[in-house]
Amino acid sequence: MDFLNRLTPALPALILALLALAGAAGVLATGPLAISPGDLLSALFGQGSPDAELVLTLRGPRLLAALTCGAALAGAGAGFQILFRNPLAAPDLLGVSSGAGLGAALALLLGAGTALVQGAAFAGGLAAGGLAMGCAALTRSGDGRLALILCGVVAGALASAGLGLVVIVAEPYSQLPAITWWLLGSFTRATLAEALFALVPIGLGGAVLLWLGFRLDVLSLGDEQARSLGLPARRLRLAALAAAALMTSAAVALAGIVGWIGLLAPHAARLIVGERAGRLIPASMAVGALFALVIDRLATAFGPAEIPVGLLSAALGAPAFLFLFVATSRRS
Amino acid sequence: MSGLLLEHLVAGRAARGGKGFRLPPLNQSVAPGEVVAVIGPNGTGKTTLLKTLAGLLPPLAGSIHRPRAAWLPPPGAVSAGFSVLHLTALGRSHLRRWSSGLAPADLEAARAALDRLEVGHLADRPFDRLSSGQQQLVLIARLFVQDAPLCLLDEPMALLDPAHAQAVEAAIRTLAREDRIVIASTHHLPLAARADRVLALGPDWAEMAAPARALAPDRIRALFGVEVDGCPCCGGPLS
Amino acid sequence: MIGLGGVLTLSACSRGRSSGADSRDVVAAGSPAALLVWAVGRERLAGWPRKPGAKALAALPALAADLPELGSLASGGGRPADIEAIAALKPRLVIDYGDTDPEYQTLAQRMQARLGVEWRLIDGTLTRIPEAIREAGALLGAAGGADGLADDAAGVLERWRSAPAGPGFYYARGADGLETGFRGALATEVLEGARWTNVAEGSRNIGRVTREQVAAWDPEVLVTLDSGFADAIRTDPVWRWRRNGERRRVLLLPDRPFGWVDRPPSVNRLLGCAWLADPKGSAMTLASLSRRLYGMAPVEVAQPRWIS
Repeated sequence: MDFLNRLTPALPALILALLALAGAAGVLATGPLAISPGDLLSALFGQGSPDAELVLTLRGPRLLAALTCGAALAGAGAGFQILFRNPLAAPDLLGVSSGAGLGAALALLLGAGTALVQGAAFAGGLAAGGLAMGCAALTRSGDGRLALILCGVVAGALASAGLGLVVIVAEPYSQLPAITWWLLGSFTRATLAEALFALVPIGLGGAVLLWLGFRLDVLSLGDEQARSLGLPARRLRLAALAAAALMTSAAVALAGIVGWIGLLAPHAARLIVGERAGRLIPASMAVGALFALVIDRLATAFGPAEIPVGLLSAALGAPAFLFLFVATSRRS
Repeated sequence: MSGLLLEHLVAGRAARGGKGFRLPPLNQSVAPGEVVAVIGPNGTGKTTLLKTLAGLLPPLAGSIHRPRAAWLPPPGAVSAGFSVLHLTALGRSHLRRWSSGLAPADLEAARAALDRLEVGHLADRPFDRLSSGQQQLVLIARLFVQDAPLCLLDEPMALLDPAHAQAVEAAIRTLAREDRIVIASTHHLPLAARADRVLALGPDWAEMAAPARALAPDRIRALFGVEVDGCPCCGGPLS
Repeated sequence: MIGLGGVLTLSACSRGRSSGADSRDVVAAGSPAALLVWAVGRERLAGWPRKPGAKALAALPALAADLPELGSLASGGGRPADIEAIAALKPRLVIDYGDTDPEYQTLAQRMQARLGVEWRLIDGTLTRIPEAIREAGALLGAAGGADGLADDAAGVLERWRSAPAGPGFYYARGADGLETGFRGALATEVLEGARWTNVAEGSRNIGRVTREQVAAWDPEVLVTLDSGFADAIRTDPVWRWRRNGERRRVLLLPDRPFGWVDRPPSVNRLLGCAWLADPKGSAMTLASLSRRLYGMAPVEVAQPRWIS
């Protein structure tokens, strides 16, 4: 794959983008409501039949949600993996996913509507991330990477314990199923407004990570070297962590807990574009978006009952990760 | 070109649970183009002093007037999976405050520096796959790219075979020749012997002197507590 | 008239019996069983496996709020009970009401051995509610009242079975309505038995679907117990309009104090059966059933609402 890099830096990104486009078309064109592609196309320009308009209203947000959540989780995962120099770093490193799950579960327990549940999930994720970062800052140990990981584990464990408590207390015939389904993840329950809303924090976080680019490489060398190379290490690291937390919280708020994308996509992207953050972050986002499209399509491919994408991402992601890991370790 | 000026500088670590230590106050000035070797037993605070001079640690007392500084950690402290070229080009990070990527000019400068140190052929290899000596040369190339008026090197010769050690020493000389201040801590006394001045850090004293004086047997005995008539680490002649 | 009088006398009698703590010696293993015991012999119920919410308690007699929450002994979910705390109450009988498959029989035997208390598993099938009521009545020593209730229940089920065919429906569960019971599921049994057609097919029991799938099925009626959901979709074109341009009807069934078709799957379902058998003329039956099952006053009985 090295020759691809030397050929054209933009070529891998182009290929990924084309694949994503094909995937998007796949999601848009298939579903239980049978609409001809021509009808769909004219609906895109506002001139289709009512059925086609309906289909767009339903499949469009789903597509948008899958793309943005996949990209967000993958970008956050890549950022963490670079920053912490840890190939097993995942977006849940700071306990953000668990915190978001707890927020949503609490909201569902109190009988809130979908908008409030999403808001609570977003707030919960940021709270967990903030807790982890705050506790790590208190320890004042060197550049704090180890402290961050430990505090993230603690925050995540606390959130999980809280979640367990909520599950026990929830009413078993209505609240408990609702909580369980929410946690397992789905791209189909978002409306267009909600998906666009989520685009704001995801876009912001993504823009920050993309702008950080080579600075993430510098930060990965450690605080001392980063400062010696003339970068305000603490501030940049904070920005990177905040961006990743923002993206992960928004993704979980929109779609529930979808694991493995954030872990898998950076590894796959690394095989294509190499280690430099400036290329790895956008490539990871593209791979993540693609992966999300695939599992979204599979979620409703086996009958009318929807398979939660959280389960699908684990079922596909774990073996794929193993395969990638074996392949890369064989190479080196 | 500005020089380095230390006024009653007390470097050290603040006592946290009784583990602090202080170096003796230093009043020194170093002019551009000078190479200063810092010698002393393990644990007297050479690394702490270098980090303080680099601005990575706050001084406990006194002040430093210094130009922009670049710091090179000991060999083995830098680990990176990306390519040598990219790592070297990162030396220009201080120039890219707001842009989202390194400029092609940065890569050019990196390539030029690598070629100068005759490691240009390693440009596309992952940094972690190089030997210690090669890594050290790459990092010194990065120092050139950083173009800082003050260069602080922590034990640059450690773990190096004679060939690479020579190349590193030559690179240090070049750094200084281009009007930079180079301060390097080392156990390699022949390097100290060839420096312009030697700063000896004893347990509770510090003395800056010419190499001939600083490396005299009685000073060595006072510093390390051993008798030597050759370099303690490689046995070669001292001057 | 006589029937009504008989009902009033009976309820007066049951209220007159001593309601001291000593007589609360029957533990319900799960929420379905709690409702059965509450209907047949509520003064003997030791506690709720899961205490009903404030709205439900407001509709039930004061006794309901006084009973403690014990936790669930059955494996169906909810806070598990502390076995020691249950044993400390010195119950004389544990009633479980629901699935009687062999695995639950073995569970019953194990629990009986652990607690040292008689554990009775009663078949919870909808069509066997009259038998279940009689069995519970015999166990609780309230055979007289139970027989009357069982007869009423049998009549309701009879009329329910011969109800005229109804519309195609989609059963919306949960706040976003995307959880549903597929054809043949326990949750939709009451509706399907009244010969309403469940559009959701192709899977089993409970599952999640997408809005597009619901639109593809194009049900005539949306049935829900969730007033929040009914409100939320009032103005949502995806839910409200059918593919032929007609407005979809939304049926909001009451869930106070307990759901009329679901939640939990117990004797509460009789109300749904009664209403579905005769939506227009069942007011008296509903009032009488609510009083006998829950102790509710007639004015408290909620009515299903058609939202259009």
